[in-house]
Amino acid sequence: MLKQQIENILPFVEKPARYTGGELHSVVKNAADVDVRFAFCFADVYEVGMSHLGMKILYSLMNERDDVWCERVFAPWIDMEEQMRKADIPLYGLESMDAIKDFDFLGFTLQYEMCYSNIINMLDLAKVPLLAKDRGEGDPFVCMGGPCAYSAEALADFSDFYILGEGEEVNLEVIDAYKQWKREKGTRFDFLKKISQIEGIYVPSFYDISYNTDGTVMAIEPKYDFVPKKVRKRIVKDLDKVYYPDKFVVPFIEIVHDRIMLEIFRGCLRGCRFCQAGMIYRPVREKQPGTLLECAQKLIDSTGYEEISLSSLSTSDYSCLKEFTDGLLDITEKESISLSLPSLRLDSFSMELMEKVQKVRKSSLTFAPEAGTQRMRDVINKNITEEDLLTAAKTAFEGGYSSIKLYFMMGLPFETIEDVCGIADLSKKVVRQYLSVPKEKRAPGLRITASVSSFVPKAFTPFQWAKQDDRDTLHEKQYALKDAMDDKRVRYTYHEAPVSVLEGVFARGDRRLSKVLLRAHELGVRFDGWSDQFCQEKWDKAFEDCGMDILFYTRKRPFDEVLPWDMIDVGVTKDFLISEAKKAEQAATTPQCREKCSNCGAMCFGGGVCFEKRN
Amino acid sequence: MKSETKFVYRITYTKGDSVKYISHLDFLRCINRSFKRAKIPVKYSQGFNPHILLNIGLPCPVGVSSECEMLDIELKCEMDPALIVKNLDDAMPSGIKILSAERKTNHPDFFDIEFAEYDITFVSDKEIDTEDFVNEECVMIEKKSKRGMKEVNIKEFVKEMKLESLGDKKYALNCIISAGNKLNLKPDLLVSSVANYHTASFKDIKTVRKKIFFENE
Repeated sequence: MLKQQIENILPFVEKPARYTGGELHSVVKNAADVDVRFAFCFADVYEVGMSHLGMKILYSLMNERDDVWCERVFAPWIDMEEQMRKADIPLYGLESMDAIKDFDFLGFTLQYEMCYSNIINMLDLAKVPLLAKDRGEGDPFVCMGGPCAYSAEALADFSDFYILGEGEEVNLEVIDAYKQWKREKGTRFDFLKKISQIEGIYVPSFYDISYNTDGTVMAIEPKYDFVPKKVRKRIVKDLDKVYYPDKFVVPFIEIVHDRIMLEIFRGCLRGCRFCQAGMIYRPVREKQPGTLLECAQKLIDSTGYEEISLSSLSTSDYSCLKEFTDGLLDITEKESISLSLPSLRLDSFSMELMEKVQKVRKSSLTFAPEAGTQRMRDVINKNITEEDLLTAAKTAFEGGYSSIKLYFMMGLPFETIEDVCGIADLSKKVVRQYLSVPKEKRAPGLRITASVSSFVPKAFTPFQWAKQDDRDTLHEKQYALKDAMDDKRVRYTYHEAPVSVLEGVFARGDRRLSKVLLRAHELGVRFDGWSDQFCQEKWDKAFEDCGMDILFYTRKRPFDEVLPWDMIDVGVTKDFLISEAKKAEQAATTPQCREKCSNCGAMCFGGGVCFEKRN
Repeated sequence: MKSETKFVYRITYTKGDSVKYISHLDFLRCINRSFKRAKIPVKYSQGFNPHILLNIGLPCPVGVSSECEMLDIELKCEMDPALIVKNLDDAMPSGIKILSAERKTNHPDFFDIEFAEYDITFVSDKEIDTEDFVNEECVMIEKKSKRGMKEVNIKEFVKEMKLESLGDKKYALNCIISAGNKLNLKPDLLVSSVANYHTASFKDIKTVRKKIFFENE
């Protein structure tokens, strides 16, 4: 039995509790009593995957059904993988400890591109045929969802189908279709044909892609007449009514986000041009404060967690924030648990709120101006002024904070070296704000961190046609900024350029990258998102062996080029994205949804902010 | 000075297979949250970072399950022990079973823990004699102490031990060994010492803690 074999290798791995399950509220069923077994796979370690809210929701949702058993699967760390391979133990579900190759579905959530190699490795560990075309009767269906699924053509050869958009409804529809297909005793093709009729399901093998001689996509053609030309993502129209778990699995070991997460709304009003989440989750849909408070109380009772955090893309934009946080503070004070408020904007209400929440120790504050100059912030449509930032910083220093972290990007479209060095200027201005507060009024130990990541153009954003800086250009900019950062009070950190470039390749890749992924897997890559594991040489070799060029994927693309993800419809139209791209070049800004509708296309879903009454 | 009445309860519980790989620190957090979920009125320490007044008797080594764990917890007020057992048991992950709760009166102190009894089974790669090691007066091993590795006679830590063959190279080891603050021996050290003594290698090792003994008991 697998369980005993697993137990034998656990003494030889670090953090064995990653691999044993048995946590509070994990769901154990009798395999004989269910019709469908679903492995929810997160291609990173337990601590990362267990922090993912989407998994918590879909895990509970599926397990509400008596006929379905959903289990969790994470990527075993290097030491565990080695032991598993040595002992010939296949990848298993944490709840049953059964091999997942015998499950009906393996569902991977695609949260970031750098997990793709882990997916291939997990399929390999599971002993499931890596390529969709090699899977036969008795093999599970491998499906993929999550934010990267809209443009995950690089995984097309490995994926039987993609689930696009929010999963609460469509996952259950797929499961129902599966049960029906089982009764009908159809072929794998029959099942894929059946679900291709469900909105939000994209079956990559049902499309022919042809290429021009220069390597660009010539055409995307459905192979059969029953296949939709474009697949539209799914959203939950009424978010206030949507299922939300009243229990979370409570891990034994500490995970990255070890707290209750309360989702207050989906989507974002702002339309920052670099931000994929801001486009693909449209339109904004909110939950009612009453619904949220009830949910918070239930989760506090069922988990015993000591902290609760709000989840959304921009907390300050929640329209009932004051009413809701007043109610929530009543609960958290009574239960003596702490409240954390991520993604606040730099306005005075947010600062007051921070003051109320942070009663005891003042930890660090994080602001995200994203770019160093006003021109650049206008290019990316980040509607924050220097004054906003400096006022907020001063308020924070006067309020007893001494540590501020600033998030920036470099390598943005239309960026000049002056814009890059503007990051240093802005950081130094924040230092001066601190110094302007009288010594007796400010906390000692000033600490300003400027964390500068490299911009990666993403599909379904106005910058999806933009050139991504190559490694050398990024290095040059990083060093120029280092020279400009001549104030010892600012700590400057930046990301490794090669990882960002590879991320960009997969973010805007086509399905010919599947063979590069396969080759890289053979060369032994995995955990590319972990800087100590990332191996540029292996990736370079994989591209070379496959005759593929990294620079082809990072180049600037004309607006009329067929994009590899043109068969996908996220609601936001290409026309809107093109007009935004053109406005970016003029450094012209676009107002947020509640100020003025810009006709992005998300209205097609028939709900959310698009239909709010405006004064 | 009049001493304040304290409401300390001694709780006994078992740790099953599914929680035996939880480290001590993680286990503490789990117990903490369980009291919270059970809505038992635990008392918090004063100070900047208040914590519950919890004392875990003898931390269970990682990988060992137990039938005899104990903890002391201080509450704000008196509570029906039967209700503590029920509420806490309902709030625990399935691998932990609450056996009993008693208001602490003249119970022995955890500081006075002297021995622990373990049942261990394992499969050897070869037949081993069940008497040799047991009858040895002195078996020197390397043991980690606060001041680095030290050579010690492991038999000084063994009060009783019995090795039995279950056939097919499977063995059962029952032992009562030093435990607690003064002298302490981890059961896996005894197992590896038996293996080394016989130049054998053991697998499928299963260790269950059976009983905890206090001084003068």
